[in-house]
Amino acid sequence: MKKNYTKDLEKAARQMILVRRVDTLARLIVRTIIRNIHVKHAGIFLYDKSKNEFIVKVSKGKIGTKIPVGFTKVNNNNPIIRFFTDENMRKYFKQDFLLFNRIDYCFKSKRMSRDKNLVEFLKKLKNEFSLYQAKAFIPGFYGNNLVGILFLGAKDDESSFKPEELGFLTVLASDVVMAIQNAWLFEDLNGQLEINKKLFLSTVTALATAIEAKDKYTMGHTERVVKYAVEIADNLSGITIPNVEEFAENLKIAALLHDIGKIGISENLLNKKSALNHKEKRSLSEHPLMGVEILNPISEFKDVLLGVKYHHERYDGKGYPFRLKGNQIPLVASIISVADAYDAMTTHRPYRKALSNERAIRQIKINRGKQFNPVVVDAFLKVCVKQGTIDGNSPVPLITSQSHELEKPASNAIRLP
Amino acid sequence: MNDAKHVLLVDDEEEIVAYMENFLKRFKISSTKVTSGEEALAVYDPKTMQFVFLDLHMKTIDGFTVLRKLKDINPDVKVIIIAGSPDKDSMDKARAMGAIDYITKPIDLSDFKNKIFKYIFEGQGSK
Repeated sequence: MKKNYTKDLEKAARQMILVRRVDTLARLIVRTIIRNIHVKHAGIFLYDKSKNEFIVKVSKGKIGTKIPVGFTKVNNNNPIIRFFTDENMRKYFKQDFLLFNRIDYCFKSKRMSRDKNLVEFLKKLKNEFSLYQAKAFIPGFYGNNLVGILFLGAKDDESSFKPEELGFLTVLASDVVMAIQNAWLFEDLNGQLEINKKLFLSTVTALATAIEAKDKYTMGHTERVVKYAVEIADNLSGITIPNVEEFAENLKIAALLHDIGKIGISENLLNKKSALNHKEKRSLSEHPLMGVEILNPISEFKDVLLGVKYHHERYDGKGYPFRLKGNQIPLVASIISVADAYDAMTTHRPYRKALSNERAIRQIKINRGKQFNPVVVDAFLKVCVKQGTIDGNSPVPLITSQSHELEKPASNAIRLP
Repeated sequence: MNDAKHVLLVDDEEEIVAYMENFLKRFKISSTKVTSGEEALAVYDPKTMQFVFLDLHMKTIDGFTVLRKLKDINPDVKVIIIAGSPDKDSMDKARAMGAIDYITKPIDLSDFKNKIFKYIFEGQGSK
């Protein structure tokens, strides 16, 4: 009875489109083959661009019989590769597949046995079949380029391959090639994006360092804000973050770049000791938006942008530039906001001296649910307890007479850099 | 030249020693296969195992240590290193420690077969 391969082919083709990684794809193909044509082992030699050789990247079969993945390779001089790539071979063969049974047939052919070089070549080819315990090699071409070779061992029942099976395999091989090409293209693109992102990041980081140099009071500020932000994120509870790793990565970058928009603000203004006038205040309050404009070109920074854009918003809606309220403010921004405020308070500023850690923590606590997101403040306090900055048994530091005036719920925001 | 063709195969990947055993069997070479350096040293028999195929990067004891100890047990043992990458320092080190060859994965099976014939059947590579 003839097996109907059309359905299997359609199914395999549909799956292939979805798979973008070459290795996954190749595994899928070999599995499909083993299931439909029962062979002792099968695998794929995949062309490795960087090494200019074909390496066994997928292999299935019983242990001992299957060729271990990554264990063997063939280069361009190998007879199998030459069979499919050498122009001269076209005189003798249709190169859609290479069957062990056909080689013996060739030796008997008068036309071929006259050609000594060819006989020598066929002997070598036969030797390769036996080395790989293969009965068939099926090439995958993209244009004129050989990108992979499927190899199959003997069938479980030792019978030879039927024409419809070979038809199935060749169609599969050509589909595979298309998919592999797509996957490669995709990997290349991804790699390129990754490189661009890194380049962009290092440029922007250099800029961030330049800002620090400009604002003499904020030496090390960025670095510390990153540190605090990461610690806060690690101690969050009562919040579910869908992709924690991605969130942490974005938070780190956002914290690193949160003040990038200050590039456009004059040194005089940044280091001003006296109170700011209306115009100056407005100019300073635009820095989150400037930052967004600088980072906009890279679309992957979408979540990072949220952190930069909203790190001066307040939980009670009195922040800037958008006056967002409560959970309208993205978590990334809420975390940076606390980290930024704590570091600003505990370092010297042009307009005031540094607060002690205890007093700064107290300010943060007083502003829980006002300036700051309560969940973030709770995580921040946890960090402080863990690090011994405050005593775990009395989370609220003792009130001292000097600090009393600061503890009135501040009507004005804690002035941030 | 010893008539008994028997080798020791050492690689922490079960699939690899199993495949190599199968491969060598085709040339009438029998093998003892182990998947760690400890096992290698425990089973090594200088009387029957003139050749050892040794993986360099293994989890507990690395190939160099195994090589040194094998050489202590039998200075005439012929060790062929099978390494995961071509690294000049490791290559030089292995040679200096008395390995007769250093083969890098992925290997070309026909080169591999030729080497096996050269060393095991023609007795080349003796120091």
